[in-house]
Amino acid sequence: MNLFPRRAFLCILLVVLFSLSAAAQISDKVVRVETAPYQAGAPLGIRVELLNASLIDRIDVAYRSFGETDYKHLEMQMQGNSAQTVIPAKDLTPPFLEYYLALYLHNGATETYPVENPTEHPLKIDLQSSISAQDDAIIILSPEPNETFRSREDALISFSLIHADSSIDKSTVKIYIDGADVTSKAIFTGDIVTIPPPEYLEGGKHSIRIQVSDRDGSSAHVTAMDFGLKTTEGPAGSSSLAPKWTYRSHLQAETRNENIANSVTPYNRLSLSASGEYDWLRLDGSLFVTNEENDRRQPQNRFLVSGESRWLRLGYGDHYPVFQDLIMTGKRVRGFFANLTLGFFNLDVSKGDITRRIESDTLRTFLFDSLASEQASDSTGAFGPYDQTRWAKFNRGTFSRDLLVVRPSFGSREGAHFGLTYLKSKDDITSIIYGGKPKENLVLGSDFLIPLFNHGIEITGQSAFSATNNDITGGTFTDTRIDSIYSDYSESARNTIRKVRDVFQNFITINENLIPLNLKNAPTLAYEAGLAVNYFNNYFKFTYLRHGNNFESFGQSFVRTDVVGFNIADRLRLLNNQVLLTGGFERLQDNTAETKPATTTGTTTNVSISWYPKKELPSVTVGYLFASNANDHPDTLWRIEDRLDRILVQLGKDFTFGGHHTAVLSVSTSTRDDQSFRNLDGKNTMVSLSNSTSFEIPLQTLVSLTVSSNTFATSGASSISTDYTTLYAMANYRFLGNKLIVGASVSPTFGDIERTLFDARSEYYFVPNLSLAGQLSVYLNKQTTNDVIWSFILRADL
Amino acid sequence: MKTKSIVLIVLTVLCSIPLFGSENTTVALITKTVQTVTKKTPPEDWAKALRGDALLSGNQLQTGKRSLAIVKFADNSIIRVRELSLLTVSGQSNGTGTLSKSVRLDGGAFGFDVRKQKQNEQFHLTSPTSVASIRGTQGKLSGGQGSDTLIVTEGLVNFKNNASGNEVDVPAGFIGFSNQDGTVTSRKASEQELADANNAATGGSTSHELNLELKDSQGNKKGLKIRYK
Repeated sequence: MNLFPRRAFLCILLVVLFSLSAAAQISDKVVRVETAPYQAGAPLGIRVELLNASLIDRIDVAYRSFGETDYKHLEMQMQGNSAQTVIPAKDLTPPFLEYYLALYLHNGATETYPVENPTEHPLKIDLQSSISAQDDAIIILSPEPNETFRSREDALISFSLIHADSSIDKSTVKIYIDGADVTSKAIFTGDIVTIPPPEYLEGGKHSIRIQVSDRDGSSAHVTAMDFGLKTTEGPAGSSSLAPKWTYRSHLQAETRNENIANSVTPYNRLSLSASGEYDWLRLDGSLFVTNEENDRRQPQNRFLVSGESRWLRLGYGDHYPVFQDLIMTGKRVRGFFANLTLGFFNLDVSKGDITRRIESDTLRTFLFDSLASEQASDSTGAFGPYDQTRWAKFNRGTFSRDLLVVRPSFGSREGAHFGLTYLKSKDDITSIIYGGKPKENLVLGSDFLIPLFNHGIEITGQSAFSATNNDITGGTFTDTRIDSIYSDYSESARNTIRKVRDVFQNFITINENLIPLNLKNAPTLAYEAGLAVNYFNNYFKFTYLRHGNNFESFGQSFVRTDVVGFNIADRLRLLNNQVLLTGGFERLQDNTAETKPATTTGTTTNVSISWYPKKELPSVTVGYLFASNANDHPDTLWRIEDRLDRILVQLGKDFTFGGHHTAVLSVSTSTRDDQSFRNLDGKNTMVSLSNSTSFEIPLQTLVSLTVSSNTFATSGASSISTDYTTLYAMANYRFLGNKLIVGASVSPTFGDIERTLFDARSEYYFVPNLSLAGQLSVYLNKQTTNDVIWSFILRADL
Repeated sequence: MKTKSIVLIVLTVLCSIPLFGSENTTVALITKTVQTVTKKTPPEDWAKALRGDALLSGNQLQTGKRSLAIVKFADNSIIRVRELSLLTVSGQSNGTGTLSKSVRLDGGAFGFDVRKQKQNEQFHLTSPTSVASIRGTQGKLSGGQGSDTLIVTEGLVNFKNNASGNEVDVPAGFIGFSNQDGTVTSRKASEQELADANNAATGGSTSHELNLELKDSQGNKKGLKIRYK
């Protein structure tokens, strides 16, 4: 197959000539994915704009650092036609992050973005800005990372340019607090710069950003840091500055209409958030209501109220608690939470529902005499008594599932600590009439962090033991039931089972559906241990892990089970951070319970080199990954033998030509060779070129070209190919002194998918805190009917 | 011609010296003061030191009883000046992008957390008796009036006696002594000594507490606890 058809080649040529382009994927559910600018040491926000949001029940972002095999999942917070989440800073390792989106639909289906082969050919977020962010041209002296000042008078903001060498033009320093340019207020004392906190600075979170350019204007050095301000008033004890309430609120009302495939779906949504602070007390509240809410779906409305002091945070509503990785991460809980922080002792609690009851649907009723024939016609259907004479076939409902998780910990949350975690979750059998098998889950775990030599060395560990009962309909089994089930056992063995039941039934329902029923090979035990060493510009990490084949936590749906092995990662910075070498090796095996006919070994080796020259030349990243899975079972039915080769080359360059441009060229290709009888070979290639520009006039543009070629096997003999090319051009312009923002984009797609997107939007600010926005999107589809979407959004800040 | 060239070179070098002189170089920033902290910028007299004040080369800093000052150098190295201490900070720019720093202790003690120094950069801790050369380490120096004590909690410090020229390398976990008689010795530090030095260098994970007694106009007493790291 020709990867670069003539038309695509011409497009590339045109784009090169006109310095255009950026990546694009084709989906009928995801319009675009936006990521916040990456700053080293800071979490990274991801926002997804959706189409057909009413069809989507939940969205997860699955992500991994370069070279890691497993994807971590985070549930995104859906609100209206967008979803967002924040990836923790600890999971962001240069040179880039790989990710894809998993969309869980109401009809039970799952889709991904990108659509084709997302695990082997995921999307990427470039983390190269870490290099410039970590160079020492700008050294922030105050605040300390995440420091919270007691008052505005207490706020000391200062940085040093002592290490800015002769190639840097110190007169180009720009300082921004919360995006506002405060450079003119700065006091320069030699190479130390101090910025008096602006008078408008209010209590809450703030950010400072400092940048300085090279003398030739070729590149900028940027450093940013967040800090907090408790109150806007003077130091405690100052009688003239007594505490007072400060408030902030935001209101957004949206009406939206989607006409997709001749199906019209209206959306009406309202969101309101408010916060207030008084001295040490902070109160927050948020509410989101939508016409998508109905009792046949999991909750679409959201609400949360919380109160916070220096040592205690309490709240009720929809929250996403993060506990020990193996046990509870990012799952939505509707209920109560508390975080107590005393320093030497901390306590985190979350209790609420993770699944709302959805009553079953009765499909039809029939007399008992017909039951056998009905079951014969649908062996997987759900049947149950309807009344005294009739039975019914129904769609199974969803049980209400509650969850309690408690974590006491000792030590500093960020520093040395030891924590214990208890999780209990159970379906409410009485919540619906007809359901599947109600379940119950209990997990106990512990975790620790030992930092040594100012975090130069870190030793980490976590373990968790789970017990899951897959059918608690009948409750804990009785003595008679034990005698019946274990009739082959001796009397003493049955007595032992009774004793075990008597003890553990206080924690979980004990019957024959409990996992584990024996502890051989510890099937429900999971643990991980890691050692990280960070010295001499070299970061090395070794992790050993074992996840039993039956380990399960209702608070964490994406732990890879039945795996044991290790991984090693190393990252080395050279030539004053201009060169970044990354390497890793992972070896994992399954069959931890020794119940499979063969043990499969998976190995992943990766290397990458990135070069970030300080002048003229573009930055370059070249990465190679090799992964294989194999076992030596003689039977071809069980035999596994495949390998994956993946190559990435990426070039990036900032330059000035009538405006400030950021151009990125990325080429990636992966080939999967399956030597087993299944022959599930696959090949993906993507070439993208993008250029974003900011002009002196209030004009921003983005132009991109993406050429995508995907081939994957569906069975031993056949395969499917999808090749397409997408052009994307977008421009935003500000009129009337930034009161009116107008933007438009056009994006034609050619090849196996043919459609053209036209999009126009504008936002008008009546006053700085009140605006009205409108948007119209038209999709001209060649194979199907056209789609039209319009929306109006009113925003107000008080 | 040759003599002319030499004279020219000497003149050039002499003229260049003021360009790299140490006076008026901004060396550090005071980021925290507790109780009585004063600074002196010669020829001016002692004045109250405030959070956010810059320290120029040659500036002196003094702490009173139950007082504390935290000083951040331009390269983010930190010294935590304990009570009843007197020191002088100096800095010399070796060219664009580097700064050699020195802290002279004339009494009292301070903890230090010195960042890794760049090529052509140095960080010296001195006293009338000793000089300690540091490249990137943590610890505590006390003395300044005769004998000096240096405890190193991280890294390696070269500890030299000015009078005798004797020197010893003090590694992490060791304590060095430099005496008026010219001797320099070291031994393994006790856990208490290391904990004290670590606390002085990093601020410690456990906070210190100042207990003050305040009186209002009616003579009522109230206690005020100030916790600091």
